[in-house]
Amino acid sequence: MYKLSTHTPIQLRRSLFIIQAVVLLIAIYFMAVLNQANAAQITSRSVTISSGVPSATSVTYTYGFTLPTAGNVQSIQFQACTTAVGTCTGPTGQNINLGTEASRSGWSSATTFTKSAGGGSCTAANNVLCISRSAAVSESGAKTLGWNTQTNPSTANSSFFVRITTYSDTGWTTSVDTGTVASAVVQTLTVNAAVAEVLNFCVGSTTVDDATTSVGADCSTVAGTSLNIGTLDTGSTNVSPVNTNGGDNKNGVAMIRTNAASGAVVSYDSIQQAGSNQLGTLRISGASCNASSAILTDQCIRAIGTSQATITAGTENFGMTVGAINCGSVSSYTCTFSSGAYNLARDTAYDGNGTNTYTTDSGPVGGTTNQGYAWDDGGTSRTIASSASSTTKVIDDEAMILKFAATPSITTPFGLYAAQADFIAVPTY
Amino acid sequence: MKRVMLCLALIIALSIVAGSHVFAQYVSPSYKAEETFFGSGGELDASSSNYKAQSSVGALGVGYGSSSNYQAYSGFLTPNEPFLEMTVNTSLVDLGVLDSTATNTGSANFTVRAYTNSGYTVATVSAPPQTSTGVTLTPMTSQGASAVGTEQFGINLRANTSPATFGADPTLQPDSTFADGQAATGYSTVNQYKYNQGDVIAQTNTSGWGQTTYTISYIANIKSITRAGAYSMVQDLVVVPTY
Repeated sequence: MYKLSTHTPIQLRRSLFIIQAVVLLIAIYFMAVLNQANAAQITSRSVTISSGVPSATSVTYTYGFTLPTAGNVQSIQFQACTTAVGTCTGPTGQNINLGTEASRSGWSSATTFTKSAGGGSCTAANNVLCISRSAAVSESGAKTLGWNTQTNPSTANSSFFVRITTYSDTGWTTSVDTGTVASAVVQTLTVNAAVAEVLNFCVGSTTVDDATTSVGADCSTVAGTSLNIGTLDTGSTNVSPVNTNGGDNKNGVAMIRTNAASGAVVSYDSIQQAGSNQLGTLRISGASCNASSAILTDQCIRAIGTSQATITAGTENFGMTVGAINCGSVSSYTCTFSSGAYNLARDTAYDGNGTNTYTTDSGPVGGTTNQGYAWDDGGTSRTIASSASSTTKVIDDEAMILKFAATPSITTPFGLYAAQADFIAVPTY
Repeated sequence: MKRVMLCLALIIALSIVAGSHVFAQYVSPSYKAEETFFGSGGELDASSSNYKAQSSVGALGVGYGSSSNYQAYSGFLTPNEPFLEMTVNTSLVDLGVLDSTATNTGSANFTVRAYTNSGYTVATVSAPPQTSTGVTLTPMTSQGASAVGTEQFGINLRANTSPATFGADPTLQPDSTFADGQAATGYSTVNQYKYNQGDVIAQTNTSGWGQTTYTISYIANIKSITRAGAYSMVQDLVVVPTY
């Protein structure tokens, strides 16, 4: 009993100490918990990044969130970390301490936020963005805030978390709400495809004599190596197609399809035939013609030259023009010659009269032709059409109706006259 | 010394209590608990007329349970923090040399694993394939079928049978009880394709959690005069989880 009575006060003191310690620690714990609870959790929170490519720069991060606590929001800290909670490690390569406010919605105060070195609880760093404003206006509810010129983390297929804390003061001292959002940068996925270069170009003859009737679905249906404009007479100019006096009622045609992004140029050069002088004009092969085309007694019909001009019956001349861009085989886009809706533009020396009205010159034409013609007999390459300057440069089976015209003089010798030409298409991809 | 030890023991005990919170969600029309701890053990499919629960034993599962009055996310692996993981599993999709008489196809995979309150979306923010000079392969801005001879670039996230058997439906792992990712509207119809820069192509239905593997199915068609060149697109996928 003595011992008991002796030790009881000590035990009581120990018990009291333990109770005090427990109460103290519990108080410390709940104070800590309550301190954490002072900052309410931001809800409906997200971050939308304008690019998920690793190391991408000039990325805009748009934060969306709902503030649970009504009150001033005069400073905000954004802290990017590799984890949502715990010690913050900034994602490798990421820099959010850049840029300016890019967008916003839902804010009561129109005062924008500006970036700074921070203060209070916010110290700017590559992974910490400190923004503030002076706006003592109560804010609550859903908001968005976009911030530009952000640099993504460099590690592919990695997530990052941005811890957001709002403060009522301008100095990042009195925190109000917090919340964490997440996003990810992912491995670059490249999608590749190739489109091969295409050029379908053909020359032939056709009975088509307008701008709308298809000369054939594509080059596989274009045939013929010649056309005949019949027996010439000084009383008229024979313009293809000629179906009298031995004419075969055909025009020439050149059709082209290409996917050349920079367009294509179509040209011709007259084949130099056997003989002498004026080798590339309508002539009797092997004949010796005068050096001057003004002499009209030789077996060469004078080429009209590189400048477009009309032909008058009986005044010896030979020429060619592109009667129209025939759209009858075009399927990939709207093509209408009469309205100018085609991609292959005729050269001014071979466009008849420059209008989009199909020529009325056909067969024997008395007097002067309605349209102009040109022909270079020197063998130099001459452009007759091109899409290089067109708005749309690719060409889908547009066909040039090639009309040939010739008239003799009264001194032009009789015989079989022929002209030959090479046609060349040069696409630029 | 005993007093010191006693204090330390108390501090450790309190620390354990403070650190043992696991953040799972329980939601019903009349009840919501943000953070709850399920202790060791559990049951995969315990249910009654008013209750259904799934919980993990050991550390093997994250589950979802619901009834008309109750729904729960539970398990040892239930994240106690915002969680997001997105992985692109393919680095290159080569559609080859395109032909105006046939459709070229390809596919790529990406995986999203998340734990969010309000789900997530995945958007494609990149422009359609272009050449180095800026010529664009025309994207299918409206959902439609593949048409040979028409310039088209489109995608969907389904297992297709036309113009070929390719692609796959979203794979929910381990199953639909645990994950709910799906193809978004416009990209969720078999044999129908679309591509609009900025479109959401995948999303979760309600809450976003679990793991879903998505397969992007690509198609490309050209017309006879589609401009020649090498077309390329860096597919920029952006995931936006909402917590």
